Amino acid sequence: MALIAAGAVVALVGAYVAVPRWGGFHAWEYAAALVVLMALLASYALGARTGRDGDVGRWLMLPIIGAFIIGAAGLIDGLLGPDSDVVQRAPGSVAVVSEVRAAAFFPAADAGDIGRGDVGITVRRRNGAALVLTPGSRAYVGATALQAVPRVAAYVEATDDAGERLTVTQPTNPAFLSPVALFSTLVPIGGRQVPADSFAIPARHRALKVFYFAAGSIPGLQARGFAGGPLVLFAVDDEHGSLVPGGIAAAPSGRFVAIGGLRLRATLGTYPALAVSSIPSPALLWLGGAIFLGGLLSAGFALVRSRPPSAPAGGTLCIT
Amino acid sequence: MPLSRNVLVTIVVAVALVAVALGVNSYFGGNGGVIGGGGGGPALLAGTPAQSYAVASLGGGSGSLSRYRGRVVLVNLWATWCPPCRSETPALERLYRQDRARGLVVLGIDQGESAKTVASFVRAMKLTYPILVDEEQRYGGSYAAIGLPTTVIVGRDGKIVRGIDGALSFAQMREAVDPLLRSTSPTQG
Repeated sequence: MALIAAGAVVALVGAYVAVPRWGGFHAWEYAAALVVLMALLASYALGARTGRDGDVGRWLMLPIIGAFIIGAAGLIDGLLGPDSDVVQRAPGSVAVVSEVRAAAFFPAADAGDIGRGDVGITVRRRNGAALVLTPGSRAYVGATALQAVPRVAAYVEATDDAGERLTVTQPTNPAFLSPVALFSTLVPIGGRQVPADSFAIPARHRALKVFYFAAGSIPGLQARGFAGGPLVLFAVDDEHGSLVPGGIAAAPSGRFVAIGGLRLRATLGTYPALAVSSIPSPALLWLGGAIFLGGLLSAGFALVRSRPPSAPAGGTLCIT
Repeated sequence: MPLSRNVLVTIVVAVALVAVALGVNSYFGGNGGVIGGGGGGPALLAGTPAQSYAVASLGGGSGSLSRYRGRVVLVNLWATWCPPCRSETPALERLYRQDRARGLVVLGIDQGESAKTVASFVRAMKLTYPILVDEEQRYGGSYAAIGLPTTVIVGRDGKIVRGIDGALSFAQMREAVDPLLRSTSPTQG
């Protein structure tokens, strides 16, 4: 029973390290489960100390202590550690990640980069080497897990009727000159929350809103010529904020549409955001893990050595 | 061999003390939280390496900031539709003509427009300093531009000395580059 509880503690904390972004690790239910299991371990340890389970009980003390330390690490971080944070920045931006004393560089990206979705985030530590997080990959730095999480993005291009390129800006975004839509806003449309972003085309005194619709999210679009993939909806306003005549159009990724005196194209793909999650103290995990495993090995070894040798078959031979 | 009671208690107490110390230290040993750095303007970039991208050059072929490594470069991010940018160009041209012999490079990097649009404006204004056409707006994104024009002064070592948003007068431009031109050190002003 004690070994099962110890194994459960190790498994629960192991899950915390493996999937650190799950918010449930900071919930009271997780803490309660650990406390109950650790109380079982403590109860067994106290009983074993008085010889309740004989030698077996004493041999199991070390793995139980190790599991207890691991459980304490999980409990401390679950209760005191910060919730996971996701840092989303425009291409070319830098964010300071103070948990690991580093700066995260979000590289510049063009339409091809967004379409392929293969841009990684570089994390440069003050005293260490640079760490490149490719989309989906995770790295552990001390008691922090860093992961590059791909997020839907669109590279927006605007030209005039002659095909001459026009500057795309984001007046309400710190990354003023980024033409990449990160869809960080949700707008209610038709009873659903639709990811949206906004831009300006200052050379034509136009404001542009871009809405993202995932594949299959709008029934009936196939009947209207859209072949089932994701698409964007453009809405063009004049400088007074009024929709220009004919200023709404939908388009799949990579296709130009002509609206509001502009030719607009959005290349859909992904751009990574940086997920920063705390994990239980690595020092405690290593300490507890070493004691747990070492204790298991030691107990197993001692158990094998303590077995009495088996009696020979047929009894003894008496010679009278 | 089973552990004696005293040894066991000693181990438990010692381990518990170590565990508490390590656990507490990991929460109070450093700062927490992510500080956003996506905004704040180019002034925050002082001291950092200036990013360089190969983009189209109005003179033909491609060009980049790194081509001017070893010289003092006044990088001007601009666009033809931007009134303060247009009003600034005569001062930039004047500065370039006066200080070119002292090793100054004025590098205009147009943001987001096509070469034809830029060339038409450059011809009309009779500009002679090098112009790059950054259709993808990479420089603007990397230099934390919060508007146009944005001026970034890059030292001989390729690091940003100063970032300024908004139009500059000729006197302000001269004040920004003179200390670097006078100095023989890569970054000293």
